[in-house]
This record gives sequence, C-alpha cells and structure tokens, in this order.
Amino acid sequence: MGTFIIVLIGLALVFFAAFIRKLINDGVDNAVNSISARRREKKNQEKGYQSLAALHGINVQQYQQQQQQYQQQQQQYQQQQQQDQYQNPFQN
Amino acid sequence: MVILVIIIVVAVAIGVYIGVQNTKKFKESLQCGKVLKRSANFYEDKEIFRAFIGDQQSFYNALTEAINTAGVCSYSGNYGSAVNFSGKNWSAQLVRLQSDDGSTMYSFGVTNIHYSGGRTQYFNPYDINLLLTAIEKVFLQFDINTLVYFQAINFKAKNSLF
Repeated sequence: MGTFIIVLIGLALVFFAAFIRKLINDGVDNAVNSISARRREKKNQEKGYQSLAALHGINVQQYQQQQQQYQQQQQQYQQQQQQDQYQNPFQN
Repeated sequence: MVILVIIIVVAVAIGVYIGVQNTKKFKESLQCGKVLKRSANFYEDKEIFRAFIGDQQSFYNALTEAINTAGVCSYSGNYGSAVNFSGKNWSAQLVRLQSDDGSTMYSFGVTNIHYSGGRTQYFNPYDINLLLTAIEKVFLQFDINTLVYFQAINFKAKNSLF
C-alpha cells in the first residue's frame, strides 16, 4: 500500500513538473511571437499593398505588350486559316 | 574515444550532405520558377491577395491544378469559403475574404506550426514556399495586376506536455 502511494505521488509530481514546464515554454514562446509579430506588422503597414507581379520579377508593362502581341498573332493566324479554307473549300 | 570521433564525423558529413542536397533542390526550383526567394521566416506573415478575376470557376480549377502539382500537402474545403492545407508539422489556410469593390480577395497564411519543448518542431519551409508560389502564380495568371498585402501572424504556441 505504501509503495503504491509513493508511486502515485511520484507520477503526480512528474505530471505537475511537465505541466509547469509546458506553461513556461508556452509563455516564453507566446511573448517572443507577440513581440516579433508587432515588429513585422509595423514594417508591413509601412509597405502597404504591393504588386505581386513585381515580387515575381515580372515587368507588367512588358508582359501586357507580349500578351497583346500574342493575341494579335493568334488573330492573324485564325484569319489566315479562314482565308485558306475559303480558297480551298474541298480541304478535309 | 576513436569511435566517438568517427560517430561525430559521420553525423557532420550526413548533415553537410543533407544541407547541400537541400540547397541544390532549392536552386533548381528557383530556376524553374517553382519557388520564390523569400525571407527565412516568410511563413510568419499572412498574404492577402486582391485581384480582379472574371471566370471564378476557371480560377478554382486552376487553383486545384496548381495545388495538386505542388503536391506538398493534403487539402480539404472549398474556394468559396476556405481551403485547409495540412503538411508535415504545419497547416495553412486559403480563406476567401469579403470585398466591396468587385475584387476577389483571399488570404493565405500558416495557421499552425507545431511546437515541442519550447521550440518549433522541424518542418520544411520549402514546402510552404512551393505551395504559396503555385497559388501566387494562379493569381497572376488571372490578373497580372494582383496586389498583395503582408500581415504578421501572431502564433499561439501549444507545446506538448512531454
């Protein structure tokens, strides 16, 4: 009976120690996270909204010109296809 | 003593090998455009996207394809409200936000980093970078003028009891 109580008290102490350790770890982590988050948020607010394309190293103007060129080429190709079909109605 | 030195040398060699392999993998992915060069703790900021997207269904399909191609996590949910991602020792969320100017707004952020004994458990930020880059590219594909705002996340630590 005596041994059982000693084991029980031992287990309770182990759990208590683990719980205190967890509380301390959580507290320290949360404090560090909170300070770091506040510092970063201040910097983020200064920057405001940014262009995602710029972050990816894309020049938006150049990209839009390329897109326009591509669309023009597509249109020309389609017109050419239609003209070819008109000139050769027995194709296919 | 000699055995101890051999063990240390082998451990260091393995560490160096893994480091070199990871760097090589990152550089290759960077060249292919699969990842972006970001700050070391980029995952501590949430990204809020603001874009003008026409066809929502095509956008959702493109997101699904991009996430599947990245293949670094499992996911569930729907694009109309929120999609939850679950990777190794991290989880993230893509949340649809309310917008009053007709734009499509989403936020992407890591929701949880697992802690153990007062420090974050090992997780690979490369995986989050890969997923985030894939999502960003979908936004750019649909609106090249997409804007992004970074918002700091205040993580709540939940250390394990043992």
